[in-house]
Amino acid sequence: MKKTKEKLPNLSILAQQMVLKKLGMFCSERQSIDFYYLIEAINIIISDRGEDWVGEICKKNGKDWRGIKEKLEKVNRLVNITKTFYDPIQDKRFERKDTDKNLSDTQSYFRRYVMKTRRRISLMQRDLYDLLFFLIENTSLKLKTIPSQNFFILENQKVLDPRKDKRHDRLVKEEEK
Amino acid sequence: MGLIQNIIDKKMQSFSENLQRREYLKAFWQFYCAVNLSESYLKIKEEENKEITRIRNSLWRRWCNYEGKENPKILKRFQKLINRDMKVVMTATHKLQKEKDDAEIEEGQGIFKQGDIGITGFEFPA
Repeated sequence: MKKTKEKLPNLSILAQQMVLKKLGMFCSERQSIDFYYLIEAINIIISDRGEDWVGEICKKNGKDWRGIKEKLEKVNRLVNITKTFYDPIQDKRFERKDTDKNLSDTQSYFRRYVMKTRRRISLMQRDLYDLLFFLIENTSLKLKTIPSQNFFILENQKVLDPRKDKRHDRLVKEEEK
Repeated sequence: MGLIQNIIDKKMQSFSENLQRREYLKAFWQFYCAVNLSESYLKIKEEENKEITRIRNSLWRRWCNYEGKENPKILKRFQKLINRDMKVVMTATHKLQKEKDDAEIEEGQGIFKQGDIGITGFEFPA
């Protein structure tokens, strides 16, 4: 294997592993929640290298670090709010409203809020990608690849319905006896 | 380079898988992400594609309002945009591959073979 001529600054090993894991999750998650993992990856890179280093590199490349930081904080806030409303949703499949008649008021409110905020987040993705590529090109992450085990879908599982679960029926029968 | 290529490849794979399963919302989201990724990699400024990004963003807002209901009119408009935006993704992947070949670095195998990318004659399932 030939060595490269560039000398790029390294992240710590733990930070590298965390970033690659988060980027794997970002690739395989569903819309607007994938940005939660992308932003975590960006935050890990910035906190590992330090804000001063990022500011210096932005200066060298003619970018405004303050403006980038403001946008990042805005997106951080939006994405964290959607995640807090996304987690308590019981049925994350987001099926059509007509067929889904068992929704309670709170569940439908959570769903509507997530739909509303994901519109706003989807329009800000270009800024995030610019920042991500800028950080990757200036660190040793440029030479890494995401291991295939990191590409797995976390929350695309079926919600367990106790009415359909056979174990539940068996337990109920045993209790009756 | 390898990292960026991984991300774009995975997004395009999930786009094609979701299309086959007829989950159009998920498929278009993945494609939309891949296009934005390739535009930022190629450093295409947003001002150059102002009209098209405006059309795409307004379509996306309307789609999200339907909460997953499939509107065939909007589907057709997305299809036109996809036909145009696929070129951007292809130029980005070609450039990435060229940089990888020129860099004289041995990297691990990508998650896909080269033949998996390059959906030029795709059609929506009936």
